Amino acid sequence: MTSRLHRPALVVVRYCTALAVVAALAACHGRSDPQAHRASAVQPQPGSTGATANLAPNDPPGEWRRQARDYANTRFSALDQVTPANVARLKVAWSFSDGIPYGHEAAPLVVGDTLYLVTPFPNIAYALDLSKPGAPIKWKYEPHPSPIAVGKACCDAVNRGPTYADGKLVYTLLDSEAVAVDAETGKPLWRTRLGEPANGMTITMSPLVVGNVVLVGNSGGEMGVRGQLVGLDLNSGKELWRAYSTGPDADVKIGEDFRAPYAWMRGKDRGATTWPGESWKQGGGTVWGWISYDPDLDLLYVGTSNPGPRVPAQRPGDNLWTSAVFARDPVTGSARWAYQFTPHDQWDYDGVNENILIDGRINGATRKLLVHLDRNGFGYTLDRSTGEVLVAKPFGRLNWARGVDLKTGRPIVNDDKQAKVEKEVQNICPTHIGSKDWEPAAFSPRTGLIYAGIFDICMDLTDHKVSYIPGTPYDGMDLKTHAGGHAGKWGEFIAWDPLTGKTVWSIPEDFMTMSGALATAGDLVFYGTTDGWFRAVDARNGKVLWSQKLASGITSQPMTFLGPDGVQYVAVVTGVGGVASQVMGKKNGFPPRGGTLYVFSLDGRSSASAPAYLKTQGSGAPGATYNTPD
Amino acid sequence: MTRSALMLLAFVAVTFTACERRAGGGTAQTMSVSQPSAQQLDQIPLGAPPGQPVSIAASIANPYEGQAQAAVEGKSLFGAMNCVYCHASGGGGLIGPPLNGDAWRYGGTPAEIFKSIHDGRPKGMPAWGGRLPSSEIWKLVAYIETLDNGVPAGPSVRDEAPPGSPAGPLAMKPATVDGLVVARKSDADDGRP
Ligand code: HEC
Repeated sequence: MTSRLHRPALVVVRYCTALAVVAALAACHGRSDPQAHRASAVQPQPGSTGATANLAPNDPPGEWRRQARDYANTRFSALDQVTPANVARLKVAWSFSDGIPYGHEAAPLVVGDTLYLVTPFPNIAYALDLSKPGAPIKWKYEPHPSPIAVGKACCDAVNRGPTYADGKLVYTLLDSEAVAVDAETGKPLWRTRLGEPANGMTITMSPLVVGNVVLVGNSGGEMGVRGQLVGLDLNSGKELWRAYSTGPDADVKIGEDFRAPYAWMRGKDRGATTWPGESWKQGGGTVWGWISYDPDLDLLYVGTSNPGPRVPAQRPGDNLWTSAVFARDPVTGSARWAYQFTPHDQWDYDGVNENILIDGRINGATRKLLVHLDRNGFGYTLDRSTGEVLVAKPFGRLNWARGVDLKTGRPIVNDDKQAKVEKEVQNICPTHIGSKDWEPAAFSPRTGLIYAGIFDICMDLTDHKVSYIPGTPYDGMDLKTHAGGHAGKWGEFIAWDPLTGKTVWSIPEDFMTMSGALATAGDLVFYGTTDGWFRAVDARNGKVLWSQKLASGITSQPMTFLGPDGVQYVAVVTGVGGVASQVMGKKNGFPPRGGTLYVFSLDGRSSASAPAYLKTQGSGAPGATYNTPD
Repeated sequence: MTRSALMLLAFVAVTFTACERRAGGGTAQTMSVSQPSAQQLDQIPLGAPPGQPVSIAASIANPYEGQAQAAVEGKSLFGAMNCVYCHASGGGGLIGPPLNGDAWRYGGTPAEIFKSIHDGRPKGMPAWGGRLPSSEIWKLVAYIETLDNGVPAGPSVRDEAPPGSPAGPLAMKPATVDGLVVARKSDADDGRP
């Protein structure tokens, strides 16, 4: 990947500044190699699980070019100016409001001296110039997507953010389009329609760019939309390939070199034969979550949503390949393996959550791993070369299954918690949005732990049979939610050991915790709460070291970057919404909406607040005098 | 979709069409009504011109007015046509706006509600004119008219409204500003259009 905005010299200087506080880095003068510093900042520290990650494509450490920062989806930054010792000094440096009431779920990006933001519908992109006082707007791009999409999106008119590649800002529009904008000027370069919102398809996910291929999935599973992952050419926006999640092998891009890890998934056209008739055509399996990529195996990893309709009685069978993960070749889209987390899903357990790629020792051997905290409440660690399940342990409250049989890879379903038509089944855990939804976890190669915001919510569920009517919900689930535990806590923030499948520490939260996590080389983890607290936690022991109450709830993703002034900033967008407002919006104390980017630094230092940076100064003398017209 | 679901839908549609033909616009044998003409409905403007009484919408009654059975049938259609998954049970609002308050985006007279359902509305409300006979749409309207969000109607705007205006200015909320919808009165709507 090359970039017009990438300036290596500046990056080295900034990186040195970042690490100047670290005693070990006395070598930070002259032309020291930033890669060497990064390597030391990302080594396992005493007490670590020993798990590590490949941080490719090794972007400049002060930048944040895609939502997950790296291909492995670690959301880990090598910046370490902010530490457990000084984090209590974090203060707001500046803020930026976008005036949009829908749920804010994206992280901003920083490339060079520019910060990029994409809003929820109507999906406006802003470039803010970090080199100028107050980070003024450099450009603004308004794509004007069709408003019809607002009434089709199941879970609010959200967007999960842009990605940067080769001088372009690439992102999706709610009305099922993808756009590329010149990152320097804001001029649109291409715009590609991927589906028809009138029939229920929308797009909220953040694309991933691998080489020359832009990978874009879709939403609309709740409207019987068929899941798809599309590869677009980065330079033209032209479609290179399209792989569906359901249907015959040719449609799913399953060929000769596909190997399912377990016998029950093998055979011809399983994406069609595990459904009644041709119901796979309205079978969901949409691809609205995160994509990760392993440059060594040259495979991308992406999950699929729950099947449609949500009423299982109408679709006997395993309903492949819904609620599953695919490993695919990014150039051709062809599938190498797939694994279904929840066969014949009955509870709305999408399999779209992030797949974090790490390496670690399990059963005495170092393996290439994929860690996935599924909506169904199990934390999975798979072999990412084959899809074999190595660890599957509950990370949240669950009672729909008694465990996952590691010999067959199948969950052992609890008969008592199977969904019934016109009969209420009480206290199914987790609820429809799972023990954890799309809000992405982070991984620190220093502790070897995964950090995640999760829920403790259960449901009483009654199913009603439902008809497929294009552009309307293919739903049928009638449910009431309640907190799982007796203490009435709806959320938690946890550290998870991916090699053993155990929770290491946990912070209970009053409201469901629906923010992504950020881990830094300063051994801090950041996350937000639905009721508007932004917190910094010691990555090693879960001690909450700093909390700041913000204007609205946080259901987005924190990130960190180095400003042109060499200062480490931590940023998060408030603006509660999405599923959190649907599930908890009526609970007392739930905050109002409103999208604002907050940027923090030690002591609030920035070019936006120091008097010396002000362009305008009072002169002390009267200016013009004003008279009435007559 | 299962074949049976498809068949159910086809059956429902066919039954409705057949009923409409047989009863000349009414459906069930017990309910024979005469519906407003398409021409009449076409004349209903979107919103009220400033300073003028609200449109002729107010003068068009639901042909099923006073027939409780129509609202019962409307309620089951509200489920069968998947309205309930967008507007929530009791019309409390979810993906689509609440239908149980007295704040309406496109007007709350029976004829305006009819038009919302028949023609569809721009932000994702499907048009049902081609899918349901108008008799069934009037029954949906009858059901929606029975919905109540438990919030007492405010100091009656009706009383202050010009004669001929069905519900006064609140009924005609011009809801959009720069593509966004201003928050509605009902607390069931958390700001989402
Ligand atoms: C796909 C989701 C969806 C379905 C299905 C749906 N609606 Fe809607 N409905 C909406 C949305 C979104 C709006 C708001 C549209 C706008 O503001 O442009 C709306 C608007 C309306 C309105 C106008 C409300 C106002 O404030 O003026 C009525 C009445 C209505 N719907 C009734 C129905 C009925 C009856 C059905 C079933 C036959 C139905 N809807 C099915 C999403 C839906």
